Amino acid sequence: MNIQQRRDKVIDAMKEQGVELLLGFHDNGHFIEKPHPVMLLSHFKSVGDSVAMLGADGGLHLITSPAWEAERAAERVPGAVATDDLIGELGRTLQKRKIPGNRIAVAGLAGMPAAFETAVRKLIDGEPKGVDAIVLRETRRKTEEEIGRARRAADIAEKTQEYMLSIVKPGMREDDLAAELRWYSKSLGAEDNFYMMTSGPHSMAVQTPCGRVLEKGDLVIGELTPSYEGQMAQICRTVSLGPASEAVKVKYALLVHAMKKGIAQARPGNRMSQVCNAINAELEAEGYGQYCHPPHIKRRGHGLGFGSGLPGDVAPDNDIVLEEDMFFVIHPNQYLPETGYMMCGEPTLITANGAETLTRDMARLYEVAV
Amino acid sequence: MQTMHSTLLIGHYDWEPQHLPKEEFDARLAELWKRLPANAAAIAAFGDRRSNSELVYLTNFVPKLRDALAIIPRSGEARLYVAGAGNMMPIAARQTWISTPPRPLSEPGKALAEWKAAINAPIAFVGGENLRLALRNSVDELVDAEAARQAGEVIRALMRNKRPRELAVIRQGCAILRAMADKLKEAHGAGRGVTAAVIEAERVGNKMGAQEVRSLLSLDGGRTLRPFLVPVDKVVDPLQAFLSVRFNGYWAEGHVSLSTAANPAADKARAALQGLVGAARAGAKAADLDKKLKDGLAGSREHPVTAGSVGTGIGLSLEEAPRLSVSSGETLQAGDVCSLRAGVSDEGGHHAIVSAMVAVTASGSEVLWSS
Repeated sequence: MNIQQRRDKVIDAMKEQGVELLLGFHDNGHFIEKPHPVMLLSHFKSVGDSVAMLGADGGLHLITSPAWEAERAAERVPGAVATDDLIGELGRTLQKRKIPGNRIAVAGLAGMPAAFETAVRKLIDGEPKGVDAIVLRETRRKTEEEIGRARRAADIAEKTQEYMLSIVKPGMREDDLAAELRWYSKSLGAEDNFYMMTSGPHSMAVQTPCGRVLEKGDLVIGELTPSYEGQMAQICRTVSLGPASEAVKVKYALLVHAMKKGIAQARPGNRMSQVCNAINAELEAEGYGQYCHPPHIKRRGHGLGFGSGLPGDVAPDNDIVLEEDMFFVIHPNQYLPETGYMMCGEPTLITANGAETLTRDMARLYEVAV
Repeated sequence: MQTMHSTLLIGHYDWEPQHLPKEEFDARLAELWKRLPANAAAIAAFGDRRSNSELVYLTNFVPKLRDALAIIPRSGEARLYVAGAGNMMPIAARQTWISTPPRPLSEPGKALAEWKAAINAPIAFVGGENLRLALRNSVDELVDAEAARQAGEVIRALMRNKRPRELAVIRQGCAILRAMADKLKEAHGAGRGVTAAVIEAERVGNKMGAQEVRSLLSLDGGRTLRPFLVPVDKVVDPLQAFLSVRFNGYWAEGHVSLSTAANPAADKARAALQGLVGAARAGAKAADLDKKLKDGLAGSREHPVTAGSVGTGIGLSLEEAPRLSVSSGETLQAGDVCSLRAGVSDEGGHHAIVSAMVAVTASGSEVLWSS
């Protein structure tokens, strides 16, 4: 599927609902978990606020900000307009099109700042129809371009992990290590990186990196999530500074084993809940049932932005049916009383034949000599 | 300058009292309470990853991942609420002087309602420009509109007039910016590709303790600017880039124009910037500064990125008061820290943007950094 075919599917859904024009909004806060109608419809990642306008006739128009983004926007969407007055430009464009308010639908508007949403509502003559669910549903499968980007992002993640192993040592600050890895992934082409990382002898969860100084005996846990041209891929890894204890080795092997069981369930026609349940079953069999649920864990993976978060969380209550070209991370990251929190996870693409992990090497426990 | 926001902020965000001690925040709050109406019993400050200046001014806390809300009573203990699980609160606690352990934030309205019930007096509210409509409405129902309006004015005035410790931190940020620009020049001179050169400069900022570094670059000799999206190996000459760095909450920024050959646009822009900086003093009007800039450009066409504005204030945001657009009617005040810009895009196909960070004084301005 390419992006035009994706848009065609959205247009079919628009026509079913009597929608003549879809306005997909996003602000400048690109966040891993926030649906991004502008990127989903245009593959354009804006510096400022933006709106993608998709007509039932198939026409796509983009208005973005600030004004100096004009050329870059037009490279992605010919005829795109960049402005320092997005609301004013949108108003003028809507006036020209003369489409009744009840035939205009919006996606992403509720995620915009209050003043922006209020201004848009004034522009539209009538209550706009919210179609976020339609846009997300029709974008649950990645396009060929997005899958290609996901492969690049996964490659960057693995190379960044290799780089980490070459530099991590006691005495470093967490935030210095994280900044260096973020820089390294950027040097490989990642325009952003959602990198949660925590260190310690017995961590309760992964968090944002801070000024803690790494020590011998720590487990450094992290989820590297580089974005390549707006598509993220995530790997979750655990590194022992110095030899790992026997307990850590045994329990980490259990997590990897559970992850493989989950990956085996990730195939077209299965439900996402089956992936999660397969992971939980392995841990429950070892007596860790109480740690398979909140507050210890609420999901075993998730969709990967920027764009659509579908197919959603790898969770027991997610009954979405897996389809070819869906992409998400499976990560049985887990707190265990003997070891603390440990992380392993792989970016997973659903193919006709089952799950394809986009990494060359699956997670294993890394031990760094100190 | 507007730049691309990151999905997660990574850098030195722990509170560093050697730069901004608790006494600094005590003094800020004392000044705030002095200027607010006596019946304002508490001030609430909201911030997110993108917009957080008021929150940082009062607490030092920069939301790295999700939203945060501080509620500071006129008397009694302040409280920080941070969106996220309970086990993330110890990390949040490292970022602020507020000693009461942070609590998870579900919705700002809920936290405000608890306080409102407890203190039964007006609460002022600042920040929150990115709050979604539903959350905004719930906040507006609980806070005192007039107190919020006054608090907004007061805190903007306080943030605009930089205190000695703030200036000291900004100077350190400018030192990092200088090192980044030097590295960019070195990499460009060594024939590095355009994105590699910019990324090398960013790395210098990281290594010097930045909270965040951001950049824009030009692939077409300075005609347009764009964010980094994919690596571009080609060497671009002239190289036009925008670099910015956040250090202990405060931003420093600069435009850099590098060329191995003569670039008449850069020469004109530099001359115009020099005149602009010379005219920057307390009492100078934005329109007069714009005229000074245009005089300096001597008829050359202004660069589209800088046209219509000679610069803005800079501090806890990349752009804050005073906004020095031609029509703003703003006047410089002693205590302002501004980023002033001059850009040329001439008919001969030459392009350049240069800039300077200045601290405005009663008699002139001190250049903190210049292209």
